[in-house]
Amino acid sequence: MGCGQVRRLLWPDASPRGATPEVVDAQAHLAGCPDCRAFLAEMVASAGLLHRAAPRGSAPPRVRERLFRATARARVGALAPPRGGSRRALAGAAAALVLAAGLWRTATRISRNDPVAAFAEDHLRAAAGPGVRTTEAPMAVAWLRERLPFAIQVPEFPDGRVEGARLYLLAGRHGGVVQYRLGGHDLSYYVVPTDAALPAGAPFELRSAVQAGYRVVAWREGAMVHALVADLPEVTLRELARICIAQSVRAAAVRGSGEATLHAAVGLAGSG
Amino acid sequence: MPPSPTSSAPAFEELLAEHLDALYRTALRLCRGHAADAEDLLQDTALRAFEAAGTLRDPGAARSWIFTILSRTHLNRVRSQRRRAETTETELEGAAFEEALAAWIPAVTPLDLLERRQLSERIARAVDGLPAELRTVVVLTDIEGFRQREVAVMLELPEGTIASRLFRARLQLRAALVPPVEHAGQHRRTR
Repeated sequence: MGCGQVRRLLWPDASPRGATPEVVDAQAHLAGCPDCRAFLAEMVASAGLLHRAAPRGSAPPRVRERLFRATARARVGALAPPRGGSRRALAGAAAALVLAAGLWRTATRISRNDPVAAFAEDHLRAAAGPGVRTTEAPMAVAWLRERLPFAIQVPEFPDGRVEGARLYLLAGRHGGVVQYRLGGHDLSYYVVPTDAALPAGAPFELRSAVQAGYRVVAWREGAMVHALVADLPEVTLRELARICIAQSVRAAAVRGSGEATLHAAVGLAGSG
Repeated sequence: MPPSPTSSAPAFEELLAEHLDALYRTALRLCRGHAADAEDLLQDTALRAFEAAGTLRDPGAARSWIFTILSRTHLNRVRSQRRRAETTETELEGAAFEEALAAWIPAVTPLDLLERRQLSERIARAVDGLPAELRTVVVLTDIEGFRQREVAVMLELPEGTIASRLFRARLQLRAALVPPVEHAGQHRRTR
């Protein structure tokens, strides 16, 4: 029996083989043939190497949005979704996003039995994903940067430890959340687009509320709403908010866009 | 037959969401890293899967089912782009396959070399350089972990053809990844 036949008979990951005389002979050949043993070992190792080297990333949110939008349209029998042609597809995806946001805002007018509402809700939930658990702030920053169209500065708090990051949905729009552990308390830091929430107020003006036993301190900053949520005293959350603002504005100043804003921010936050 | 719009509405979307990350990276690999092509492929796949959702009887086979749709959709697109039927000249069957198998000998230390060199990107490029038929088999088996018999069912090919495509793909990957000086002279006939 030649090496080629042995290697074909004993090819790794083939369907289970019966102990036919051929297979028994092949096994006997293998026991005495280092080349064939090396061949089989290399086939297995090659597969393992490819498996390990393959990237394990997640589908970007825009892909999730596009697919769930397409299937929702197919389900309700709308116009045929675009197939092929990336430019047309991207234009369709952009339109879909606008429509999805509108759909979400009018969701209260749609019966809960209406599948359209269920699809929109489902695909937005799927797009948010489970988040990432990490104690490394740069990893949380990178994870959010890959998924959001805006950057999030992950603040550092004295005695606080980053625990992870996730996406957040508000009025059909994505925001980012960084989770911390601070002095035995869970703390969440939210950054979401500003036109989706919160009454208009002066930039950096701190607003405070209590909901379901948790204190929320929120403020506007540029085009975003920021918020800290925890079961902590208001004075503590406000102090943490000022730390957020100071670090954020300092980072902006470093980027060359905010010396004047820095002074205004510190003054406003201090009086909020 | 597509699922009814009013019954178990989220079921298909849940299935899609569960496998989306793996489908996306597979589509990306099948499309040689071109994100726009991968997204088009994925949308075609999702819609075909949606239309065929009524044929999925065993929820436990959902992963294999939806990857089957992805891989067949991809190969159909490739064939359509070529404007001709799939060639069979690259297949190794029977004696030719055994002859090729016999000609393989271990490289000096190819895997050690590969692992030392942060080869993820090079491997990705090498996989991208494979012909579509070989790349599909490598991605489904070696990268996504389907068994050869599953891939044979997915692509409606004999299991032996899957094995020979895998072998030929690994030959080409080795040629692309191992420096010529280390690769030279390593393809010879053994016993």
